[in-house]
Amino acid sequence: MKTPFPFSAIVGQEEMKLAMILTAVDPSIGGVLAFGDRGTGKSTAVRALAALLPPITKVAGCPVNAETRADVPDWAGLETFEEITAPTPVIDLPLGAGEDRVTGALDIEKALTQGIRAFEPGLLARANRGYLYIDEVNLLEDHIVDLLLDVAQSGENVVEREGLSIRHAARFVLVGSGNPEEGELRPQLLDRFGLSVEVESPRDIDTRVEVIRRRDAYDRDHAAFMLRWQAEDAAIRERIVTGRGGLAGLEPSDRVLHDVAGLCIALGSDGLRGELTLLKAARAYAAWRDDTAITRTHVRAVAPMALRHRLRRDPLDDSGSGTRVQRLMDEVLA
Amino acid sequence: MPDLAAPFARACLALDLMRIDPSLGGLRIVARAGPVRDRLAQRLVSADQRPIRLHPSMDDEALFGGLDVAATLAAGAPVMRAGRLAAQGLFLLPMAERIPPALAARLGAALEGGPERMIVAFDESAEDEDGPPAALSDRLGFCVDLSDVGLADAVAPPPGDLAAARLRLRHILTPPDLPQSLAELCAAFGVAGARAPLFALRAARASAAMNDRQITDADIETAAALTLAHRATRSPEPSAPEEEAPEEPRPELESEPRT
Repeated sequence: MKTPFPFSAIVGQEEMKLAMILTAVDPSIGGVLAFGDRGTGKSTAVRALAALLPPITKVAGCPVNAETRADVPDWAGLETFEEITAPTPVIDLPLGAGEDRVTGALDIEKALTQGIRAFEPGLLARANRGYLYIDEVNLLEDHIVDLLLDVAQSGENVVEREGLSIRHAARFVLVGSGNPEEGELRPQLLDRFGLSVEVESPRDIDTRVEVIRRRDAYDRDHAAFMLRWQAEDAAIRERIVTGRGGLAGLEPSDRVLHDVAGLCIALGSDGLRGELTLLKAARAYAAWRDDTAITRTHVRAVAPMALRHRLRRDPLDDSGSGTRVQRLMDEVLA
Repeated sequence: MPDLAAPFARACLALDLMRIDPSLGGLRIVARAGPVRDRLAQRLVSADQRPIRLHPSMDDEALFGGLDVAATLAAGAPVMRAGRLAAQGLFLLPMAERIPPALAARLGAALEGGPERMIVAFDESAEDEDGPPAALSDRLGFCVDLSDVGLADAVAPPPGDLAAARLRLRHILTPPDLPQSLAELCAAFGVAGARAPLFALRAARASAAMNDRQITDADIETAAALTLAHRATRSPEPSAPEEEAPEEPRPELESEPRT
């Protein structure tokens, strides 16, 4: 199979790229939701991210990508525990996948052929320590989305079915993409995604020309094109690794906490999920830029993607959610 | 050069071009079942390839394969059955307007990346119905409407040497100003997204390869007619004659009580 299109070669779409990078710096931010026009590189960006992410160390053959021998679940039945370096998993969740395929279920093959009750891990196990990608997330059945968001938040998959009782680690970043023409995601599910970005077709000719040129070069002169962008991808990868190291040292000042809380109050968001995500995103952004403190600039930069899907619907205000967050910022952070 | 004004010739050309470059994705044919469509379907069957039939209500097991329970029980060892999408090449999807969005998304994903697959979708929608979901039709390079073609007009041009054209394709250069003009064309016709201009570019290269030459204006015209025309959302000239009826005094609603 062809190597995916390089992340650094994606033209424009800065907000989407930044959101994905921030989750790579700090996976606890929560998922990313990318909604927008068709053919704007949403899936391309996710596939590119898979190739970009720093590799992980895992026990060879472990169904949940455990890092150490102690983390390997008993039901995996491993006999050797060799540690290997593997790419960060980015797992596709196909639409229409049933609950059994997502959470894992009774291994029918073994039940039929050997008469034993064994657990066959599902997609959540494979996505542990990585990413789970759902294209057209708005077409996924609600109960599956709900389940995914629950597991993503708790970091643990609990399977109680067919006489099985299994729990295993399932920490992953959920990335969903979709086209609003085919229906919105319910607000109850929306605000549980950490970040949300709106993706639009580029409006100006020059950007569009560059998109065509790069894609054409990728199709025709694949090896040379990949070589050309390899160094840029490596630079991003290094910055992600540096950023991860810098996270711990970034303590928010009182002033930043006030800004964050003020924004969320003005927004009228329920609960504290908005505040926490905004703070984490601002911290990850500061770490990504290798800055030594979190400031108002960082909060400003990430506020639209952290808050736009938490706005209440206002029937009297049909301006875009990004604009509304911008307006709020101008009022609160004046 | 085949006559582009004739829809049937256009459909045949589109089929040839996507056989030269399978990354063109496929072709949507708007037509009811009938002799015209049958004649086109005959052209899908080539010496080395028969299209694999899909249908609008296929489930995942039919598409992606699964455990063959009967064979597993008989053999005492797991026997898997391959799904239709395990194959590559040309797929035929009749009643494409009936496919549910989830299936459209899956077929769309099957077209992108991985082995070469093409889908010919027969769109049998009535005039006031929607076509196939955009998740699929956006990823098909071509669309031809055959609904008004009579059997007498359904004359297929002789097929060229596609295998030779395929080999030539990698030697076709992209003219440096072509991306610019395609982007401008798309902007003028209100075609959104990055797929359309890329389809046009690939179609132009395939057309040049078929004619054994580098890309000419004729190839670009052919490509634009086949890949962009059906995606246009507006007419380029702002001064185009408006199709508004001259202002007529409208009968006032209140003054006409219905009995």
